[in-house]
Parts: sequence; C-alpha cells; structure tokens
Amino acid sequence: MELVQLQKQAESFAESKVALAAVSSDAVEDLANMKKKTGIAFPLLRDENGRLMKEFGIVHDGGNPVDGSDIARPALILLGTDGTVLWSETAENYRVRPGAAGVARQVEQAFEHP
Amino acid sequence: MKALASFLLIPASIAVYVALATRFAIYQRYPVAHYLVIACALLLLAILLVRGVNWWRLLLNGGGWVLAIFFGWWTLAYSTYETPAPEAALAGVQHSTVLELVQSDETGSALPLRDRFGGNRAILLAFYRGYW
Repeated sequence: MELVQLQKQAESFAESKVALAAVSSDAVEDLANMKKKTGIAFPLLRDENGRLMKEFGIVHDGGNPVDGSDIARPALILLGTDGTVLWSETAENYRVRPGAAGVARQVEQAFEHP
Repeated sequence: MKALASFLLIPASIAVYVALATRFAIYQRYPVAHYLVIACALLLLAILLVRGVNWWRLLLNGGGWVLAIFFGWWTLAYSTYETPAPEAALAGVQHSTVLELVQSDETGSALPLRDRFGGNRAILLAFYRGYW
C-alpha cells in the first residue's frame, strides 16, 4: 500500500524536516492492528468525525464499502506550521492513489519553489 | 476444457489487477493489459462457441461477458469520483484551525495536529480510505 512506500522514504522526509502522519476514519484498535501488520513507524491518526477531511474537502460520502460510512478520499497534503497547504495531490479515482513513489522529491521541490 | 481455460483467464486477469494494486501499490488508471487479456479470452470463448454450441459454452460465454462488463464498469466509471480535486486542498490555502483539531493515534494518545509536527517545518498528511 502507499503508506508502506511513504515509510520507505522516511529518511528523505526526515532530512527535509517533514513529519509524516497517516489519517483515516479507522478506530484506534484498527490503527494499532494496521501498524503491527505493516511496520509503519509514523503515527496513524483517527480523524474523529471526519473533521480534518471535511476541512480539506476530501470526504467521500458513504465511501466505506463495509458499512457505508464517510471516509477520506486518498490524498497527500503537505501542511506548513501555520496551517498553509504547501503541496497536495488528491485522487480523482479511488483505484488510483496519489503516487507515493517520488513524493519526497516533490515535497522538497515545494519548499524550493513555493 | 479450452472453453473453461479461456473463461478462467477473465477472473484471473481481474485478480492480478487487484493484487497489483493492493499488494504492490501498482495503480493503473487504465489497466490496458488486463482489458486485452479479457478481450482475448472473450474472443476465444466466442470462437469455441461458433465451432460447437452447447449449454456449457453458452454459460461460460455469458459468465465471461458479465465479468468483463463488471470490470469495465468498475474501472472506467464507478471508481471515478464525481467531483474534481477540491480547491480547499490546493497549495496556498490556509487552514489554521486544523492545527487545533485533536486526533488519537494508534496508541490512543490524543494530541492536536500542531503537536504532531515534532519540531519539523511541515507535516505530510497521507489520507487513506481505511484498513479493512
């Protein structure tokens, strides 16, 4: 999955002074299970009531195929310390996730050419 | 036997497509190779049907078309979001209020997003659909 690819670039993100976090609507227990299974080191956050995804407008209404609840549209959002979006990539199709490969390079370019 | 093998190419092609995406994060907007395999399988099924009609071949032809139409509909129409990428997520837009929103992590520890930066100059938020 794309989060594992991000994990592989963790060193590059650290060099760029960029923290990583994954966000979903999953319950805390599911996040813990996923962390154990995937070995991802960065935090997995639960977006309570979808407030983060609503703020960014990336809610997929009823997108959960299991229970029909709202979930996030796959997206990568680079956020500055003042809350400004520095770079982003949002999926147009849920089968085609934002490409994690090469993200570290694109993030570095976002700092060089804001 | 040939008809069954031809038919099985269709679910196999779909299964390979799903495995590539879910196991290897290889995402294909237009999975052309899979379409071609499925088209070849349907062609073989049609040829075999023309050579000798029987209920078994009719059933495999029908099933093949159902699977092919489902795969085409799913990949070309259903999975595409109805709205384009939202402007709120575009570069340059400020969302200072999100920094105060509190999220729990996998340990149950709840912190405002501001405290997740860990002294870095930015944070990359990877939104994903969930784990099921």
